[in-house]
Amino acid sequence: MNNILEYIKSRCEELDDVYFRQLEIEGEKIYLISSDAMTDSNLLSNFVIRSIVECIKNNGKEDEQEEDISLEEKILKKLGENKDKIHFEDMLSINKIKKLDIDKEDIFKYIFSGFAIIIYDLSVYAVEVKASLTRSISEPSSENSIRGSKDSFVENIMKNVGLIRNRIKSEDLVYKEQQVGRKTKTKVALMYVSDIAKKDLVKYVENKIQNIDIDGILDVNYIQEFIEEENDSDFPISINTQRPDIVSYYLLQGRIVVLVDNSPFALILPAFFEDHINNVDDLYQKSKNVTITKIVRYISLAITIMTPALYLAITTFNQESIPSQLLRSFTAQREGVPFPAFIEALFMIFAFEILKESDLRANKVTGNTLSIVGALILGDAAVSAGIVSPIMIIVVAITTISGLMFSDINMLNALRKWRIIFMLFSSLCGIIGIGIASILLIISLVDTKSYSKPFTYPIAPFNLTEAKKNLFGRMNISKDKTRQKILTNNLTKSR
Amino acid sequence: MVENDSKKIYSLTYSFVIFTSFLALFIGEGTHLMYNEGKNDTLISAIIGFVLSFALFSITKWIINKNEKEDLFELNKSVFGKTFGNILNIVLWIGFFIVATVILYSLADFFNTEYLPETSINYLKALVLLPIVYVATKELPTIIKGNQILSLISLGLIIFCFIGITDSFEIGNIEPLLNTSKASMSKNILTYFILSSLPLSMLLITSKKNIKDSERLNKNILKLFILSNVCVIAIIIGTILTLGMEYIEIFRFPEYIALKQFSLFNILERIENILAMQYFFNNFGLLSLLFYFLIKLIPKTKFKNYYSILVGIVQIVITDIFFNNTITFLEYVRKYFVWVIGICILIPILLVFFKMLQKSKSNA
Amino acid sequence: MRKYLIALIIIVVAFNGLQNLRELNDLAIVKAMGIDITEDGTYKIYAIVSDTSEKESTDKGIIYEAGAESVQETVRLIVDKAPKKLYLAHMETLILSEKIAKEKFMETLDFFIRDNEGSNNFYLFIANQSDSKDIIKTINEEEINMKEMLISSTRYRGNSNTKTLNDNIKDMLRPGRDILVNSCKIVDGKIKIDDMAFFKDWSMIGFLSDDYSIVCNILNNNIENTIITEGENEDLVVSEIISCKTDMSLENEKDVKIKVEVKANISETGKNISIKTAQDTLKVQGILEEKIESYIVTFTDKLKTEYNADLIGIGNLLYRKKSPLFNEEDYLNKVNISVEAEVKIQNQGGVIKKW
Repeated sequence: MNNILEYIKSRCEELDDVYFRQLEIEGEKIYLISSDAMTDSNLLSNFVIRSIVECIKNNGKEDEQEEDISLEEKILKKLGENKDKIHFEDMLSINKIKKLDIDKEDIFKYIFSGFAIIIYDLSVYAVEVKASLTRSISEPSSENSIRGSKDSFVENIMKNVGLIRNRIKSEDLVYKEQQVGRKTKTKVALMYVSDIAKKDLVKYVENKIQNIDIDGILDVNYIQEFIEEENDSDFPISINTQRPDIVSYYLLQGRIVVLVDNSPFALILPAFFEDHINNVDDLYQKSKNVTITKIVRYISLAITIMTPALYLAITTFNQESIPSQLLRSFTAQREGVPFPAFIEALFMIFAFEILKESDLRANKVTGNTLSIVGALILGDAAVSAGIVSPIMIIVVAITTISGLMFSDINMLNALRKWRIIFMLFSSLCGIIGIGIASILLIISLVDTKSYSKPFTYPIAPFNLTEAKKNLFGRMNISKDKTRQKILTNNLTKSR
Repeated sequence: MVENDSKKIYSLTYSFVIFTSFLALFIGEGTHLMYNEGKNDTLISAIIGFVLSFALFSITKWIINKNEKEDLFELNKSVFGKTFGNILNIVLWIGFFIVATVILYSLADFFNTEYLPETSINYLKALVLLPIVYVATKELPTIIKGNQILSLISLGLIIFCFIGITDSFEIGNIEPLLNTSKASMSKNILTYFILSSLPLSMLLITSKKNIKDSERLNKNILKLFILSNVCVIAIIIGTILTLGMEYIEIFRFPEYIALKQFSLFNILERIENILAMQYFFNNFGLLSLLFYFLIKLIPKTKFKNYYSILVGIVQIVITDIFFNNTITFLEYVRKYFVWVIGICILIPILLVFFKMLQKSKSNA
Repeated sequence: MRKYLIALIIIVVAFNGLQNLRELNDLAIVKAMGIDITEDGTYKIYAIVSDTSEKESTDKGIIYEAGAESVQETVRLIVDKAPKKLYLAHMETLILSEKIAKEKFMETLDFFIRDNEGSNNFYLFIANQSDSKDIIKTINEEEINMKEMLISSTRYRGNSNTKTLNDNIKDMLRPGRDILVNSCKIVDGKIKIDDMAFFKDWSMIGFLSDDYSIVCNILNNNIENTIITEGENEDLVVSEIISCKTDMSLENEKDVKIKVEVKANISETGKNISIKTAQDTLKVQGILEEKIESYIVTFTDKLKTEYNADLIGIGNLLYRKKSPLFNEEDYLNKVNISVEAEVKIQNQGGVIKKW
């Protein structure tokens, strides 16, 4: 016992928040080691120390009656015919208690996870008295939900798992945990429904996570980059979300969820291109009205990539496509502008991106004033000063607004890159350039592999039943009786 | 490892190969040949040629179903033995090369006359080769999936074009029918028949074992064969009804001139430059498949990725030397093109078919 | 692989630059153009270019003029005076003088057919009793929109047609058909759309008179609305035609049958005409049918004898139906034309003049 204590004390010379407490029962010393930052002193005083002290008092009372019997035999009598050594664990009225093996396990991981270490009689026990260091469950900060539930994940992994288990109450929902990171020792968990998901994908992800050798895992994106390292496409092949109802929907389809401690975002894989465009909120609305919403989304996808390129191509190469009246007013507007159209468009897009970035970084107090000033500058003043023409501002504004329809930041970055490629090609040779750039975009989309599954799934290997479900309009839930063949082998939804 | 779903080819995706090849070959070169010979009877000869080409279709279908694991080049070697198979392979290679050159020149010529008349044509050839070089490094499932999406887009654009043009149809333009001599009509029918052997040979680009659900392959090929032929005949009807036969003979690309009459709600006029992107997409699909065939036969060395650039540069140099301007190109096309396809592509396929028939009869 | 593609783009741009690139400020957008020809064969071209130097757009433009031996040279010569090259894709009207139409019609239009920027969907006018220079000047000063004038005149009066240059060239190339072109005239300082000019074998012969323009348009299926008057004073019938459809068919090799179906409204009547009962309506319909038929018969007789040009497409009908009569020289005189008209009156009743 002294060796263990000496060892722990020697490692704690610079750790001033680790606290040592000594108790005595019948001459035997019980040592209590805990970290002030991670433990709740209420739990420690009321449950652990009190039960030990009461045990001492009770023993003291009985000592008046029977003086010769040792502590062990007294407790043996109380507990009945248990002839083995008593379990120290049964004395403490605390929920989670574990006996540690000193050679194999890491004591400090338990101390810094909110456990109190009790050293008694040459064995080491760990008791959980964790303080609650996370915020309470609130509304999601980066995704809006109109009609769905409004709870979101928090930083504690067990609370997140609780939110998911609230929705899927079946014993087939598997939860597997691993520890990743040498210094951070973060918990990384994998969840899937065992009779729906495909086993080879699960094994692949597990192997990848086990082979991670890194100092620390700070966010779920670290895990994402390790798993995705063979893929070099621009578009994201997994979904990041903050809402547990989205996670449950994807779990029931057969996908896999990766949760990381201290991160409020969950990672869902594999993801297809249509998942970034469609919204799970569509399931909460009437199925016939969703058709027009989806058409609006596809049109806005086309607008946000192609509008600056189309404007550049038509006004510099093929002016006959514009109606005559508009052409005269465009020409009048461009009379005083010194730059060629391509430079003007780049300048405006750059200015909008700067506005967006600084809006994210500025705090709430100064943010509002600055964005109004920026908008005014971009609007009237630039036009009257003769730097840009008014039609260019309208074009770039339409582009940016329709780009806000997609919520994933990775998707927005990919669309921005392709927007610039389209503009380059269209200023080179007009409408032919738009044709070339769209061919390059289509080939690059088709070539993306999302965990060895085709990224453009219902469209590119064309599958009529799947396309009818989600592509243009949503099938009624009562008629949707099979699962997707590419994600699972268990196809029927009912028994 | 994970089961590699993205490398599988499904049968419906595979059958869209016929669509792009048909539309690419027929609309640019095929209709030009047929209008000059047949005048108003182009329509009747196209329909009769379509009915006759069902025979070629059944031959190709039989070949696909009969051999299980070889594509076109390996099939030649295994059926005929090594030496004669290699000779047939070289003949096929030359045929594909000439077709690719003609289509590249025709595409660059289209852009030169209609879109950018002041740039030199070599610049446009290099520009057209840019996406092809990018695609040639990818594997076959990517090429076929990209083909499918491009053909869906071009099908949508064709339907959209028809909505806008229907206003300017004049039914009287189609007559007089059956006015030309029997010789011209039979020449037209033969042209249609021979030209349809090239898209059907594109179907032999991979064998049946690489296709995932091969029990539906026969039905899907038949559906798309009929669809592409119907599209070609519909475009011929649309062009003749809008312009009239005498006006068509003046121009090199009469379909583009017919699209200039597009008018929808009086706002969308003169957008023929966007609608003609379907021509670019179809030709791109056919060229990417042809380049895949061409590169497959060259023995693989370390520089596998640069073969497509090499082939492209050779094609640019050849067209620069031999075709000075469009007139010489058109003369060549009128005299020799159909013979090239007939000798280099149709005859090898028929030879393979007869030899396989002979072998299966002697086995059974 | 990506690096080599980027290098290729840079090389291509560096060696060749971006040709065919025109900013919007480099365009001189032409609204209308007029062509004249002088005694010794030089062309003179007057072009109205939109004025875009001010922010508020007006319809007035600037007129540039130049003269040279051929049309293309003349159009290029304008670059000496204007700072930009002319851009012809949005042109709306083209005015030719009578001399060009009589002597050098197709040679002048050759330039426009070969131009690949425009789509040749502008309207063609012949300058009646004046020079195209004066007409262009009047159009510019009074800011007249010729296209709208033409469209409303075709729709409501019926003595012109809205055929663009494309349609005219298609008609010219078809065997057995001669074209009709609108004309315009200056009256009291303003422009008026006048009778149509008719052509034979690609050169102009003369002008049709007023009534015959309307009849010709009826036979060519170009009418939307027009007015027909019959009788006078007490027997006056004025009717407004709402829709009119003509069908020409070939019975044997020599007989052409023309069938006209008309729907009309009665606008004004004299005292003796009333349309209260079914019988009266039938009588009035008969009057109108006779009037239309007599118009058409006199017109076709005049075609055969005086004009000698195939303005209604009989030759085209013979060619399409493969009649051997088409190959002869004057098939127009050998053909028998029979007319049948059918009128339906839509409204009923009338103002009671006298009990």
